[in-house]
Order: sequence, then C-alpha cells, then structure tokens
Amino acid sequence: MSPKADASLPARPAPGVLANPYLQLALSVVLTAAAQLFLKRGAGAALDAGWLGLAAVRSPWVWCGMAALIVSLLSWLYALRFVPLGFACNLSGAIHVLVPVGCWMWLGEAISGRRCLGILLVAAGVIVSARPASAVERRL
Amino acid sequence: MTALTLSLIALSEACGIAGQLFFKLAMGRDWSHAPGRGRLALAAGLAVMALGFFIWLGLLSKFDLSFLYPFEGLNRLLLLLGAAFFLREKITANLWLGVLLISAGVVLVAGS
Repeated sequence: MSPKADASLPARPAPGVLANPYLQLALSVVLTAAAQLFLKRGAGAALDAGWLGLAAVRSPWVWCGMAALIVSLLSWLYALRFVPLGFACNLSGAIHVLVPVGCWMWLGEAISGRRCLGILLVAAGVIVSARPASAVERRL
Repeated sequence: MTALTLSLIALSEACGIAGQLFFKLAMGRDWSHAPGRGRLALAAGLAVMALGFFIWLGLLSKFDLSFLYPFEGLNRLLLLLGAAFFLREKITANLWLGVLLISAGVVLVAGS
C-alpha cells in the first residue's frame, strides 16, 4: 500500500495518450465551454423557466449541455488526481476565451473592442499560468 | 438587481468553490485506508456542484451570460485562495499573476 499522497505532489499517471492529465484537462475545458453554449441556447428557449431553471429540461439543448458537463466532469476529476487544483482552475480560464468566441460564432452575439481586450487578457493569464514556475518566482 | 438575485449568484459561486475543493480532496489523495471517506468527499462535491448547477441554470434563463460573468472572475480568485488555505497548495507567482489577468479579463468581457 502506497504512503498517503501529498496533495501538492502530483501522482504518476498511467502511460498512453488518453491517460495524459493535461489532455484530459484540455478536453474538460473545451466540453465545459460547449456546455455553456448549449445551456444558454436551451435556457434561453424556455420562456417560463422558474428560478431553479427546471422548466428548461424540456429543451434538447439542455440535455446536450448536461451530457457535455458529465463527460467534462469525468475528465476534470481524472486530471485532478495528478495536477494541483489551483493550476487546473487557472487553465480552465480558457473557458472565458472559448465561450465568448463561441457566442459570437454560434449565437450571433457581438464582440466589442473592450470585450476583445478582455478575452486577450484572459488568454494571457492562462498562458502565464501554464508556464512552469520561473526563476523570478518568490520563495516564501 | 434584487437581493434575491445577488443571493442566488453568491450561493451558486460558493457551491462551485466548495465543490472543487471537495473534488480535489477526493481525487488528490490516497483514500485506500478509508475508502468510505474518499467517496463521501466525492459525493459532497457532486451534491454542492449539482445545487450550484441548477441555480446557475435558473439565472441563465433570466439574465444574459454577460451580466453573470463578472462574478465568475471573482470566483476564480476566491478558488485559488481556497486551494491555498484549505488544501495547502503552493500557489506560485505565475498562478497569482495568471488569475489576476484572467479575473481582469473576465470583468472586461462582462462589462462591454
């Protein structure tokens, strides 16, 4: 029996492409963004939705969104076995790039100049987070 | 924006943060000495996530995604604090800088 794993030390994943936690993390992020678009489409179509949104379950878009969320959750949980939560959550910020771009392409929502700047900031934040800890990092 | 709206947004965000902390707790450790507790952590994460999900769905049916977005930005900062405080994760300077850029970007995206 292995010793109790330290949460800050990543475990070793099984070999194989699908077992790569970073691939699963990316898959989870893409599916979560897709799910938001599906849910917006479905929830927007349900006119009489109550506060809990239960009426929206009549829309097939909502079911697509739920399916995408379930698969993304499984990928996310797998990735969390190996990567720290803070790192994974920062990388999931890419959702905020994918969702507005998806809204623009698929739902016909406009992207203003200011919104473009925001999307670029988020993208920069994700890239900074993805870089390995640099030499300028402060030792606490 | 009514007090009810604000409460529902806050509740949804709190559910999301608590859910992620439970998920990491359940997945990131070896629970073979106490599998019941590992499953309990996972179940707790799923339960609060499900609650937050249905509240979020209700909010989406009432408001534009762009209105709900700034709260996501705040959520990311709080989640990193939660990971540092509750999970004792070492948050590198890159991650702090990254989350600040992401949160600022999210607020800009929402406010336009």
